[in-house]
Amino acid sequence: MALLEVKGLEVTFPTRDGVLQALRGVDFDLEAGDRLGIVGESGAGKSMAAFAILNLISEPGRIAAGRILFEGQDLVSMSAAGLRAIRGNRIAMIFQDPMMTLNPVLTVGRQMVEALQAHQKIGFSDAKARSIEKLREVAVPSPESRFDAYPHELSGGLRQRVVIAIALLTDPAIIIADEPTTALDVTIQAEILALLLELCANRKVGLILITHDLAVVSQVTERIIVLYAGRIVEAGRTGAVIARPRHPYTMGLIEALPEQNSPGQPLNQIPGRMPSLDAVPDGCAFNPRCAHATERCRRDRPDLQAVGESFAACHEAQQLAVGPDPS
Amino acid sequence: MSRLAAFARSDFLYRFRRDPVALISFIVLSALVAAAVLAPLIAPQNPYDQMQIDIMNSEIPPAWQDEADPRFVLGTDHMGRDMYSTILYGMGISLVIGVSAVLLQAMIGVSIGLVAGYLGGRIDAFFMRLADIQLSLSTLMVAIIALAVFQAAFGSELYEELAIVMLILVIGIAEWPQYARTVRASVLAERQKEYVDAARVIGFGSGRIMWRHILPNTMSPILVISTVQIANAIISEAALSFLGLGMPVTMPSLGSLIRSGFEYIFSGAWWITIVPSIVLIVLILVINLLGDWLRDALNPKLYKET
Amino acid sequence: MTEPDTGLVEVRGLTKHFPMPSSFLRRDKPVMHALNGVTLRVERGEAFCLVGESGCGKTTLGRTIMGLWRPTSGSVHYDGQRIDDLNDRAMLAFRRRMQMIFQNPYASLNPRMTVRQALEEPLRFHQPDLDTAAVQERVEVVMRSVGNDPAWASRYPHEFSGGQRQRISIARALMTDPEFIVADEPVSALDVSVQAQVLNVLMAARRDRSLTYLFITHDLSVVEHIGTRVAVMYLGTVCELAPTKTLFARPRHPYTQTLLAAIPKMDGQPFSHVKVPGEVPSPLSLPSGCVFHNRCQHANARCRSEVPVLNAVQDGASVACHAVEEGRI
Repeated sequence: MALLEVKGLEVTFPTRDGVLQALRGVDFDLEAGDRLGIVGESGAGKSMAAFAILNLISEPGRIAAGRILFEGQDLVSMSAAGLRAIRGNRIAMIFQDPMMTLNPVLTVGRQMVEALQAHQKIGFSDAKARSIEKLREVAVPSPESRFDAYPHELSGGLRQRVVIAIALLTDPAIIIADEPTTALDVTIQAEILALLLELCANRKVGLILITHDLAVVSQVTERIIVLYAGRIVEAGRTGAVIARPRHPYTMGLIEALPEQNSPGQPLNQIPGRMPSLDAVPDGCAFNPRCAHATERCRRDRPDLQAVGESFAACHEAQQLAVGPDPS
Repeated sequence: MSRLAAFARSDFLYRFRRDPVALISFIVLSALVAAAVLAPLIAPQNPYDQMQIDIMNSEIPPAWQDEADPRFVLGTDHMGRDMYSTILYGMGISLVIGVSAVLLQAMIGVSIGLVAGYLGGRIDAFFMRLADIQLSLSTLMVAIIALAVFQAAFGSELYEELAIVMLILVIGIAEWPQYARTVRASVLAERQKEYVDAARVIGFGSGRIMWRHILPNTMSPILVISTVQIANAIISEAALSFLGLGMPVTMPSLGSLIRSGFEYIFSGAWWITIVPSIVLIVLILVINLLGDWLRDALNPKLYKET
Repeated sequence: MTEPDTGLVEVRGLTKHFPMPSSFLRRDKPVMHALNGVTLRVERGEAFCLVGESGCGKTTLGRTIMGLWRPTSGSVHYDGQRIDDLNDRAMLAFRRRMQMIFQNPYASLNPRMTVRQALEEPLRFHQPDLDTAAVQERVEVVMRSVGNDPAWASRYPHEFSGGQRQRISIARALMTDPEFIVADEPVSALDVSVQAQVLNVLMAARRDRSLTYLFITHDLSVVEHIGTRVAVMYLGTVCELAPTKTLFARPRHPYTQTLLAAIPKMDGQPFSHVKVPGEVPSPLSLPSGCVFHNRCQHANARCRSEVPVLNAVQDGASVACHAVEEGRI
């Protein structure tokens, strides 16, 4: 049994015009030390998946169906007290903007101690010692003095390190990182990603990395799932999916990247845009934008099926795969 | 789709229809305003016309008590005026003064707030210090002084003619800092946004950017405080009339009625004070409730991105 | 009037300092040194890219060139004429020819103006003698050229997605038929597939209208794709300036090398990152000498005391580095 198993996750939002499906039929697993990437563009539902795991979906959204098994226990039906014992303790989360986690009026140290004491019976000086040790582990220079610093006194990269340190305080089994480096400069991003990789390797912490950046995901994760309009369209080993994408959307995403195009030539673009949740087409959600769409695609929604080494939710995937291998 | 059709389908109207407090307040307010506007048509008597009043009719109790006169449903006041008519006309005066004073405050305050917020520097510092000084003087105090001086200097006949204008001026000028500060805060926030830079890059001058580009984006805070300010202006006028410095005795507003009935409250003619008080309270209450709703409705929604 | 051998846009020794708010009693007023003596030239028809990380001054440079800020010292020249010391009236003639596109698609369009109003306004302002029909026709033409449906004209910005709004902003910039456009991170806030659409629009516009771009970005893959020349900035100074291919093939400045090494790649190789020691210094107190010296493994005494200048090396590149000049690297 895997550390984390998500089965058939469904998240809905009631609106005055009907119920919107933010996520449908999402399945994935995570073992200890695994690194999984959830990739998609804005509105695809990737953050929603992360929030759902910790049952943090804000009203009026709700988890309509599915099970989320963490160490065998279902988080969807767990009591509030049970969830509190897991959030920030066994499963930690890192957000894109460190200031979403850090309270600007409290020192870094106070916040770390508070986070520790929320989950363990531990005195202040022990908590302080532990916090400083964690700060050192995430390579924050002069951790003793940084302990008394306020968030606004730190640079963006340092803040994100502090956030990671807070996430590590209770030695969690899983870290969920939602676009942790999107707002950071590329050199800082490289450091934070290296840090995350090191932590996963040394401490067997499972990592779920949510991002829209394919380059980041290909450097850091071992497996990925690609979301489109709330559903998984492709899943598999990262290297395989990036090198030999099977779903037309994934192919389009990769081909649209500047590094995949000759300089000076128009970039390959996917026509149209991702449908908003209240206007998802029948059949395959991607069909209006797909060059390979058939009548069947407009009618029947495809399920995830094995194609090559990956899984793709596409009726035409096998056909496309049989053609010349682009790798 | 046309603007009206778009509005009809809008979230704004949807939320309004679903909120019972807002709906009821709106209905009550509309009824009161309609009654005030139609006063010359629906009131049995014009209480400001001295010819129609007979002091022999004074202090007649409301219709559900004995000794009542069927002509005067809510009774009469100490001068013989029909309470019902006087309340209708009085509400009209309150509303006219309230709305006009707020229009005046808004014109002054919004202009100052725009200029101070956009140009910054010394101009901003100057106007904000001016606003601070103005705010440290209570409106009522300033109004009392101004009106008392005016009455003493110009005598009561001139005062009677100009009472409404004076009240509008005094209340209007005293409260401009509220608008100025609100607008200035909005302008400071909007000024950081890139559409302002885009306008500058195109070559538009400061004036045009302030009035044409930034001002429309400060409308929601202006609307929200306007409702509160109207309620405040009405209360200020009522308070001043109660103190004898507002509307003259021959043209009573709700406040003057409350005052004139005050002496009779324990000697039996309680309705002269109580009835106009209830009307005033209801008027202020519905305006405030609508203002609260408006503030919440306009608040987080406006620039919600997907 | 116009000297034929100057670029379209030129800055000389451009410096911009921002005084920071400080308490009344402090004697030393903190100053943010956003730009420190930048000199460069943008030739006609180029897609000149300005790259760097946050705090490097690239946005400040773009805005100072456009006249949104006045330089603390140095000068800005357009088509041979100095423009940084002009008053608003004199600047108006240039405003028609220079336009700007901004980063945040959600804040760069006035929420209270319809698309039509936003697009017509610059045209009516600069060409008041055009009649209504001509204005509307031009609006339609420009909208189509950026892939916008002219039916969008009566709608408000909040009804559109980020990518569509950016295209509307591009249309607005094109309304006055400019020669020069500063694009400040125009695609950074957009998803990958939308980014491709907007970049294609920008490239097509440049080709069809012979535009000159100053492209400000932190995304080096975009630079590699559309840039003709690149300037790498760090803490308000230009470290390296080279034709795009040259920069990527052979980065010379230690900072440029760090930057290029840090970009995650999709080549399936495991991620190996060499950490650059030290922290980025605060722009409130710049290091002496070369601004990069405290993080550079090749720094010597000269680097700590003397500010390097941009020197030309072979194949069209210029580098501001003592170590390169001395042949040490």
